[in-house]
Amino acid sequence: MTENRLAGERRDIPAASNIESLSDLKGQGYNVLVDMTCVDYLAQGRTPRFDVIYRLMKLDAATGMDSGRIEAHCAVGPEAVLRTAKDLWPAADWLEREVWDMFGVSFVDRPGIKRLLLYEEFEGHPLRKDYPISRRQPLIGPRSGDKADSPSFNLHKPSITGQ
Amino acid sequence: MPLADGSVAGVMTTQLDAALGWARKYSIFQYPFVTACCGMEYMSTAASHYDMDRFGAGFPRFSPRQADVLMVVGTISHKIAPVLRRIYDQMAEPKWVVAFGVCTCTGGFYNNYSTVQGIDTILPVDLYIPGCPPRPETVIHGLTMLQEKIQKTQGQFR
Amino acid sequence: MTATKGPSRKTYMLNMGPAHPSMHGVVRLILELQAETIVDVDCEIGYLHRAFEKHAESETWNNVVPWTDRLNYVSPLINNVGYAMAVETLAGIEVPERGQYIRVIASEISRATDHLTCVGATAMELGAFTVFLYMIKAREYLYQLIDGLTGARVTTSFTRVGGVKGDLPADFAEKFRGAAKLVREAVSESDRLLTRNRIFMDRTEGTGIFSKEDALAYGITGPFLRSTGVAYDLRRASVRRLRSARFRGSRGNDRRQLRPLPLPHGRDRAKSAPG
Repeated sequence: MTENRLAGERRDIPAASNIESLSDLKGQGYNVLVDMTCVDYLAQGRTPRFDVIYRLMKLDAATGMDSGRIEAHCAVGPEAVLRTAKDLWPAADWLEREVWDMFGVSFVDRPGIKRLLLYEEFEGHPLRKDYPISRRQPLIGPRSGDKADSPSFNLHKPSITGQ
Repeated sequence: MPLADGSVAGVMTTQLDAALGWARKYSIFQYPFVTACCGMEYMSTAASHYDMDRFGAGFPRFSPRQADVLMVVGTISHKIAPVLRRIYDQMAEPKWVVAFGVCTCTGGFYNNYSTVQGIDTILPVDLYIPGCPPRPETVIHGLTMLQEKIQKTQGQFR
Repeated sequence: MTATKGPSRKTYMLNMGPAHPSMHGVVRLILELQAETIVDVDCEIGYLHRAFEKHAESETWNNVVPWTDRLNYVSPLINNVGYAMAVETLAGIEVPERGQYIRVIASEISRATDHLTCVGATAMELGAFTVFLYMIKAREYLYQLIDGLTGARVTTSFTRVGGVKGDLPADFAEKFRGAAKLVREAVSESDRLLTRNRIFMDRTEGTGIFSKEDALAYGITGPFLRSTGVAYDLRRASVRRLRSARFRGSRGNDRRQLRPLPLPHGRDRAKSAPG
């Protein structure tokens, strides 16, 4: 096997101080958040149940060479322990919404976090291992025009004024 | 429109329907509701190599008010289903719906929580074109079958 | 994305998508406008969420390949290769050299189809429908090539963990040369239609400028990142290098010729991006 520079070294960081550890890593030159994801270890019976994973890359903007990757794992339960990393990397904003959407892992300082891919009426978090692939959800109809993500929103509110 | 002689009226209506059907079937204004992979084959069929225009369906309209065939091209998820239904409701009669690709016919192999298991659960479908995605030949075959159906459509629409 | 808003300036909200006459796709933008200037935008995605990951959970490793076709269906072969490479990295499997070559050739054909579709559709949205027709015609030659190679035009399912579905067809080289010639002709026709076209240039040049720092902060990759001036190319930066000198020699040529068009706005972004 040829050497794989994309794999990256794994590092476990405590969930309660994830921002301190991550900003430390950012200080070491890991300037790009490649991906942020989550793994459910329900079948392994592990507590805490989830691993939230931050994949970071050192990318030299001048030469365009990537000089190292790292995988930071935070073991967490479904309750909110982690703090948001979107101030370190704005890319984390949507990725955290996706982790909430798919796994139901929430963040202490993002109380009203919104789903990224699914819709508000969806019940449960589909990528949890206890969500069976055969479970269906009812079809949603057009929602009330008051909500900004409703298909009829612009009809009910043709224009609004900002400040 | 009641006429004194019912048989004459019958003949006239039939003739008129045939003429209208003939006109309609060769001037299909389609609304391509393209969401996914099937869009690639839709483009191939619409562009010059396969050229759907030869069959009178050359003019995609991206406004439902100007279209009479709704082509649902690609997977419909639960999230976009209300939007699709709304577009169908906005189209003027007479209108036809084509389920393009197996995802729109039955959900295809996306047998899961987020995919609508066939668009006929949310709107009436006139023609199913299976395939994942259907090859352009299949689409053209489907289109000619739709034209047969349009030819036979009777009634007055105002 | 944000602009200074005077307290007396009024803005209004406009919804675009997910089905909009001029924006066909599966994204919804809720725009905040001040006259014609966008001052803020809220973006809603997920209209094509098809639960790929959930299916991948309950399938065998090779059975996942058909789902990867449909992730980026404009260049399915690259998705096949990317998925197979990920599994091979996990399992420590080495792909035979011929298999690696075939994957590169297939990926490059697929990349060309992607660029043809992308540039053609961009031109179509700007009103240059002819370019769209030319580029889709060129793509058709490549689709026929892919059809001969994999048995399907779009949903290829070509790779397997550890290799590919099968060897190249016997007459592949000849067919490839024929198709490449036709594609080059179509591309140069489109190039003549676009590159010195005032309407196209005015509407693409100098728009959508993104700084290097923003691009890295948002984790942007690929041609978009390179257009901001960061010369990061995963193919160069990552592991796999094919050993044959002959292939390396011709690779530069191939890449230049296969790329349908240097995107004018991309070029411009690189120049005008601050930093």
